[in-house]
Amino acid sequence: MKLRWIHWTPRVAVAGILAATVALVPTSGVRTFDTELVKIDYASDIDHPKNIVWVLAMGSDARRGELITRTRADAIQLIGVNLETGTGVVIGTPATRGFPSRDTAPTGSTPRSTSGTAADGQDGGELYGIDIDYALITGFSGFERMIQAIGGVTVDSALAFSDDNLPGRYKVGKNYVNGTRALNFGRMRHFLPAGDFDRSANQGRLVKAIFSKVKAKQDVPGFFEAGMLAAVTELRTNLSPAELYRVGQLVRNVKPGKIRTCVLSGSIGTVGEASVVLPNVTAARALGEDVRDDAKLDGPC
Amino acid sequence: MVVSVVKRISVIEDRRGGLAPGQGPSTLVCMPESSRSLFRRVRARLAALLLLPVLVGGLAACSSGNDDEEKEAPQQERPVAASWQVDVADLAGELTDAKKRKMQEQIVATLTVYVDQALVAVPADDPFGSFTKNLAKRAKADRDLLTSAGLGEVESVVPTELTANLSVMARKGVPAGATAIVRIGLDVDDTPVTLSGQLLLTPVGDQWKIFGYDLHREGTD
Repeated sequence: MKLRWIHWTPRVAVAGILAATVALVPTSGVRTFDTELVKIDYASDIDHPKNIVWVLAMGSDARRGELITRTRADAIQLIGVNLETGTGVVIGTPATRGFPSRDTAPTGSTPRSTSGTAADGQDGGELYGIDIDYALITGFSGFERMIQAIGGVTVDSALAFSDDNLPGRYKVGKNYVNGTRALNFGRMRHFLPAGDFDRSANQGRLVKAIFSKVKAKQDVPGFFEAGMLAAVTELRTNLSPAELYRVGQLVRNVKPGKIRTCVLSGSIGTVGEASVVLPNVTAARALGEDVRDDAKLDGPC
Repeated sequence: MVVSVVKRISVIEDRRGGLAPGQGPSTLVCMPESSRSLFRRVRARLAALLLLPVLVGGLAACSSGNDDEEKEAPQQERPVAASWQVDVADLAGELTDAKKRKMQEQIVATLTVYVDQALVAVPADDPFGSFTKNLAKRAKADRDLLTSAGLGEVESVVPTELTANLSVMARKGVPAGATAIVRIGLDVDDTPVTLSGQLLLTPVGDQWKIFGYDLHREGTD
């Protein structure tokens, strides 16, 4: 109670002084306290010729000494964003290391990076019946460096898992991962119940985590530019740095909470001696039909 | 476009007029009294008749004094138009000093065009010449915030503060894009209005164009 009195004393004194001032100062000289409304308007937009943008993002399995554009992609994520509504979808296409070359691939098979990113984008789009706007590919170290450039990400894991070939252990729920841990999160598959399919789901979660991180930091001066410089350096694409910078800024219009991830179903088969994932083409077309016009997954994955 | 309203408390000087007490004899002449007795009123009228010339002179003096006050009062100074202060706050990649300077000059030119065409021009007939073509079309939806069209019936808009802090990305010595954190202070018929936020810039040929914006405007309503 004493503290309360002490607390209020200055206010009472100020009120008394104000009252005395009003009473003593003649009307014509009074300065009145007024309330002024200050209106604050906001507006934001960004140049984008299309409302729906489709990107095929691929991770190459290239090992030391191999070219990422001449090696199979074992991470293939179709990313669609609706720049008007902020919704998005990330559809993973499982792939295996034993994926066949272009010449022997069955019709409608998983796209690969053996002929450069433009052709891969075309293939990936055909599987879903979607026109790809941008195709991007990177390698292991490039992906690590891009994640490092944005200070790591927090990925939400549905499973607790590790791997016999790669270091690292992940728990159910949120995992902060730096570049190396992010890479391994997207590579591990040996102990995952659904193998390639679970791995593809994890890759989709990484994409979503990257969106969340970039969105959260988009107003930090220099954050976006540092991240984009890493992307420009590490991604193989037919876009110029200026074009890639503008495309990257489109993330501003994305709402990560409205992004759904999905993995295309399929079966394990063999082509020649290679073990491959045979994608469910019918399911792919149905997914494409669902998301094509609004980048929003309404039906089941 | 999201619109929100905030309250700000401020002290405003009462401009209802009237002469303040204690301004000397001329003040007394200009302020009638209402509670006089009849005797005093008659006496006052007689005195007034006798002192008519003096009164006239006094009123003249009073009027003259007011004129003097008006002359002595500081003239409303017109604000001086500011010019852009553009700094490179962050640079991802490398740029030579010469290229950095050239980029700054080009960005100053772009921002100057925007302010001149969209905000200083009343009415703003062609406000988005510094925008990319596609954004210029889209920006029409935000015309009220981005141009003087949303300032109401105004006579003059003078930029009083123009600052931009750039975050730039450059690849192989060539700038590829920049985010400008801007603050545009305006004097709109003596009322301050501030436009601040981010402008996204991209090189197009020998120019830079605005390809995105995220701005908010604060000013009295």
